[in-house]
Amino acid sequence: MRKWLTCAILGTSILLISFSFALAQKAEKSGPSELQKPAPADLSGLWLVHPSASAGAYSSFAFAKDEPPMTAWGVEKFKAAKPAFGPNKTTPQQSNDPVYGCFPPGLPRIYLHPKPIEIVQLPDELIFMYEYDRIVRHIYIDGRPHDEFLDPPLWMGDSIGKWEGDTLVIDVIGFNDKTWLDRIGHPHSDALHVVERMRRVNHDTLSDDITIEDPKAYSKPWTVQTSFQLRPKLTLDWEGVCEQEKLVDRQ
Amino acid sequence: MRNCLTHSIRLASALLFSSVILGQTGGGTKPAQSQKMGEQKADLVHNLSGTWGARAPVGDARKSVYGEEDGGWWNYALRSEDPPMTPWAEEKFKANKPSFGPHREENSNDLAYGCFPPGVPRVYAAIAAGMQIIEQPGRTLMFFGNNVRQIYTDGRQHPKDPHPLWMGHSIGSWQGDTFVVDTTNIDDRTWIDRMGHPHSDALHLVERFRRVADNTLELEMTIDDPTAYAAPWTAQKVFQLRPTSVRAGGAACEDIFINEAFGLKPILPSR
Repeated sequence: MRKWLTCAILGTSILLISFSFALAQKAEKSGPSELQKPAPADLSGLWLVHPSASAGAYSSFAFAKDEPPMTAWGVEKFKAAKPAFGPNKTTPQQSNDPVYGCFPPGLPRIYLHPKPIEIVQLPDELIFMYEYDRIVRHIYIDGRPHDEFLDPPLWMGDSIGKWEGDTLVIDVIGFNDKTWLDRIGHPHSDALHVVERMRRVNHDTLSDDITIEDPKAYSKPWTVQTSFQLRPKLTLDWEGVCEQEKLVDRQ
Repeated sequence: MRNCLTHSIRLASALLFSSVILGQTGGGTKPAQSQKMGEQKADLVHNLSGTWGARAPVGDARKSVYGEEDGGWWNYALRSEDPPMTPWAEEKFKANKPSFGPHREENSNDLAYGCFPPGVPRVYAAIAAGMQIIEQPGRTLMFFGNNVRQIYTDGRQHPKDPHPLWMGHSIGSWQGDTFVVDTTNIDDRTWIDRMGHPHSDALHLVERFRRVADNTLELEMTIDDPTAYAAPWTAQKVFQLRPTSVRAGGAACEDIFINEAFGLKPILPSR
């Protein structure tokens, strides 16, 4: 049964990839002309997450000290989570944190893992390369809409960006519901809508205001803040493979 | 499982092939104009930026000693016949259990099922092969989904004290209208293709990229690995430029494989 399912998923994926390729080849060449003007800011570089001092001890596992306004559904999910961090922590062996199964961390949780992030800025997209779990995230800023045919939905969501002044506003939907919002198990549903507002407040600092909207899990949208520091001397290590570490753990 | 997989790949292959034909005949393209680059576009010769998708071979090039399994040889191999393996490589090849090609097995020991990086040149051995290329001062980036190659163009050499890297250590330079990428230090746990041809830590890969038309990129690769192959051998691939509206990537490995891989426990060969 499991093999059949895997096969079906694999087959569907191959078909989808091929089909999108087929559609793409039929489509006229697209090249938005409004991209000619220079971007209002340059976010390129190697960055390391650097929460403000006021974020305190919780900044390694949560974005805010106070509980977000969970719905009954959200509370139930939160109670079922067995995190390895925070006030309700258990051991990594007993934890049901999805990252211990080598699943991608999701968003915004990835910013709670202090590994370098390289931003490559192009006229029509920004590419975020997260060393943690070797995640490549494309943020399209060429005016295209969200992809409405995401199947399966994405671990890191579907990201569309636009410049508002010198702030990059990234709208993210299309998530699956398998990740946690932070390292202490705050849940989300597949209705999760994340908006990041990124601004290079000075040469060495990038701020990110993150709004989390998920009516199934939270009674109202809530906003958290984090920031990053430029670390040009860092190099991105793209060799770590979670599955390999898991294997070592088991030996 | 095999039947389903084979069918889906065959279907995908048919779709892809028909799409290539559609792409070549639709839209009122004038081959004479689009195939030959005008002088005003000569700068494109030295610009590989964009997202490229592999074209399937046509005509006699589709024939193979492997038969027509799994969507055609280009879905799992770099060329249509076995390269000249040494006894060392023959032994490794027999121990490898691919899930594609003429020697496929139900219980594969392909590291791809554990979501390990594919390595080079294996990334080219698939119907859906393709990459996004970004040229920047001092380096050229190649994205194969989440797998990234950083090809240094700042004049540096390969490291003197090499340690293996999943996608190897790559340096690139322009030789006339050809971008030459020289790669060493490729982790020898990766396979050279999806049908299990092995390589040693001595693998030296040279890729020669030429943009022969606006929308066409040709790649000739030379595989030189005296431990595994009796003589250096070459393979070719042709890529077509995709519209910028095509999203990069595709399904995450974890969506496709990881549940099964963890149930089965990933198999990691020792060095």
